[in-house]
Amino acid sequence: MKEYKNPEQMEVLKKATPARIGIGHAGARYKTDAYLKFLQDHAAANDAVFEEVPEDVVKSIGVFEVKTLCADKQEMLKRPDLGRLFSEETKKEISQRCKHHVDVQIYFGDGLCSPAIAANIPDLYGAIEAELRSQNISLGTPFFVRYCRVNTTRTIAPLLHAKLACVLIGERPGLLTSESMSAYIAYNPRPDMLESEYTVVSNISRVGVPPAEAAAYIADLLIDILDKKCSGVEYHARIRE
Amino acid sequence: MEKNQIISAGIDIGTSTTQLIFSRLTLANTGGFGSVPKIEVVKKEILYRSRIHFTPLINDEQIDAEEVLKIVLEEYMAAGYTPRDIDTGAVIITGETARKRNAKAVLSSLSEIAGDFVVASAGPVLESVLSGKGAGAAELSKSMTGIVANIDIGGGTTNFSFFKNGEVVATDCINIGGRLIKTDGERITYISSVLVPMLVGHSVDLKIGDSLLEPTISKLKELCLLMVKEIAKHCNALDGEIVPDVITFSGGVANCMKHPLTDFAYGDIGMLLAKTLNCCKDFDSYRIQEAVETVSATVVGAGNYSMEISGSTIMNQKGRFPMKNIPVYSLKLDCIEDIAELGKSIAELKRRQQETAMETEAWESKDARSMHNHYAVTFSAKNISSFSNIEQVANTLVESYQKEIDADGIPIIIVQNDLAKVLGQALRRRIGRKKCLVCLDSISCEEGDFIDIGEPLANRQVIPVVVKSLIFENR
Repeated sequence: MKEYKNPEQMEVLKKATPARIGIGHAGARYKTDAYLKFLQDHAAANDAVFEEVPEDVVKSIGVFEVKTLCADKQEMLKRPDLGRLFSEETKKEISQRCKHHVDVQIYFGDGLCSPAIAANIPDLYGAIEAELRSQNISLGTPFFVRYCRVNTTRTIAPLLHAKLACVLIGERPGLLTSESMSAYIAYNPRPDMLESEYTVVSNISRVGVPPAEAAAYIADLLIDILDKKCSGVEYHARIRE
Repeated sequence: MEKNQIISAGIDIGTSTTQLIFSRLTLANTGGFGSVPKIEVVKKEILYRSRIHFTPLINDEQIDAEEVLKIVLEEYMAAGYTPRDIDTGAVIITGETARKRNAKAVLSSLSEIAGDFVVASAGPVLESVLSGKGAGAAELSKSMTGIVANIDIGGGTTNFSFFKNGEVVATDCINIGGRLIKTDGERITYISSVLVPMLVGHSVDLKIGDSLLEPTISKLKELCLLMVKEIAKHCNALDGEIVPDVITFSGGVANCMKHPLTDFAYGDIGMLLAKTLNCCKDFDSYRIQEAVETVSATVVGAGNYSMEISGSTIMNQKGRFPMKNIPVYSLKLDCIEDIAELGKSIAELKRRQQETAMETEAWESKDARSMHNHYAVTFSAKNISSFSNIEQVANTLVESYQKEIDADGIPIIIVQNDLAKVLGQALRRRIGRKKCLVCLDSISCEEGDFIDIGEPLANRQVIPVVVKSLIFENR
C-alpha cells in the first residue's frame, strides 16, 4: 500500500469526498489494487443494471408483482417507451388488486438498479408508511413493477384515481454505490403531464441519505405536496415564495 | 415567507474594553437539486461595529451595570436596531471581568434588552473558542494541514484555542493580560491580585504608588518578560501533545503589537507587554500569521460564531423558545446491542442528572431555575440505521420518559448521526402532536455542555443552537 507523507491529513481529505483520491499511480497507469477496485465497482454497476430483482425479494417485501410491456431487461434498456406502459391485462390486475381513490399511491420499480429494492425498500417504505398513516393520509396498495421506468406514474395514478403517485425506483448506478434509489413524486400524474412536474429525492442509499432518514423527509414532502396541490418546478417555486 | 436572513448581535464586556457588533447571517439550502435539504449559514456580514469603549467599573470588584447598559443602548440607537430586530447572538463577560462580583446580574439585565435569543454566558472555554473563531484561526486551519493556535491576549486573561481542520482540539486560559497593572501616567495605580504569585515567586517588588521611573520600569519589563514566558509555555496544549504549526495573536495586546505607541499610552502595561512579545524569540519555532481580527476577535466570535444550525429537526412546540442553559447528558447508544440496555442506561442517566441538579441548586438566575428540570439527551446512534431499530429506540425512550411527557416536559434529543427526522417522527407518533418534543441532529455536544435553543428558522426547518461549556466556573 501507498505510504502517505501525512496519513492523518489524507484521511481527512478522503473523508471529504467519495471520489478516488490519493490512489497513487505507476507510471501513467493506476496501481494494481486501485485498478482492481475500479474493475470490481464497474462490474457491480453493470450487474446492478442487468440483474433481475429475485422473486424472493419481492415476496419478502410482501407485495405483488406486475411487469411493463418490456419482454426482458435488454428490451427495457433499449425501449424506454415500453418501460412506461402496461398491457390491458396488467392494468386490470393492478386495478383489481389495489385500493382506489387514495391520497398517495406508492409503488416500487427496479429501474436501472435492481439491488436497490432489497437494500432500501424495507426501511424506506416502512418509515414513510408509518408516518403517513399516523397523519391520516390514505395510502394505496403498494406493488412491485418489473422493467419499470419513472413514467409508469402516468398510467398508474389515473388508473387508481390516486391524487399523488410516488415511485421508489433504482437509479442508474455509479462507481460509488450500486444500490442507490430515487423517489419520483408527481401530483396528479396523467399521460400528458410534463417532466418538470416531478419532484425528485435522489441518492437514497447506505452511503448517501440513509433510507430511514430519507423516508422521514419524503413523508413530510408528500404531505406538503398534497397540501399545495402541485409538484415539481411549480411546487418548488411555491415554497420559495 | 421563508426567513433566510437573521440578525445576530455580539456583545463582549471584557476586562478592559466593551464592544458590540451586529451582523447579518444568511441561511440557505446547500443540499442541491434532488437532495434532502441541508440548511447552512452561507454568509456572515458585519453590519455595524461599535466604538471600542473602556469597560465601566464602579470599583475593582464591580462592573458598572448601568453604564454598560447605557453604552449598549446608545450603540443600538447608533446602529438603528431595537432588541426586537435581533434573532440570535451572545453577550459575554470575558476575562478577569467574569470574576467581578455582579457579572451575573449584568448579564441577565443585558440579555433582556439585547433581544429574545441572545445568550448570556461567560466561561473560559467558550471565550477561548469564540476569540479563536473570531480571529480567523478556525478558518485558517481548514485551509492547511496542521494545527493553528490563536492566542487572545486581553486585559485580564489570555485565551488559547487550538484548531485542526476547523475544529477545536483544545483550549486554555491563563491570568495574564495587559490591564493587570494600571497606571495614571506617573504612578502604578492598580495591581491585580492574580499577579501576586508571579511577583512573589520571582521577587519582583512592585507596589501601588511606585512612580513610573527607574527602577520600576525595569521591574515592569521583567514582569512582562515573565508573562511572555508563561504564554509561550502554554503554546503546547494537553501536556505537549498538541503543538501548533501556526500561531495567530488577537486581543487588545495583539493590536498593540501591530500599532506600537509609547509605553503607557493606554494607562496600563498592555503596550509594554506587546513590545516584549514583538522582541521575544520564544515563538520563533512557529509560523506567525496575522489574525483577521485583533482587538475585536472575541466580539466578532460572539456575534458570528456562537450559533450553530441544527440538521434535520422535528419539533412540536410553540411559544416556549428560547430555552436557555439546558444541561446535556449523554447516553450510550452506538449500536444495535445497546438498544436492549437502553432502559437501564436511561435510568442511570436520570440518576446522574438528579445528582448534578442537586449540586447546581445554587444557580442564581431565574432563567436557570425555570429550566432546571429540562435537559438534553445526546447519543451517537452510529451503527443504527434500520427503521425497526429506530422504532425500538423510540419505544424505550417514550416508556422511560412517560412521566415527564405526561407532565408536559420537553424531551430534547440530540442525535449525533443523521437520524433526527425519522426518530423524531417515531417519537411524535407515540406521544402525539399536542405534547412537546425537540429532536435534532448535526449539533455536536457532550455531557457537561450546556445548550441554548432559539426560535425555529427557515420555515421551521431548523433551529439555532448555542453549545456552551460550563456557564460559570465553580469557585
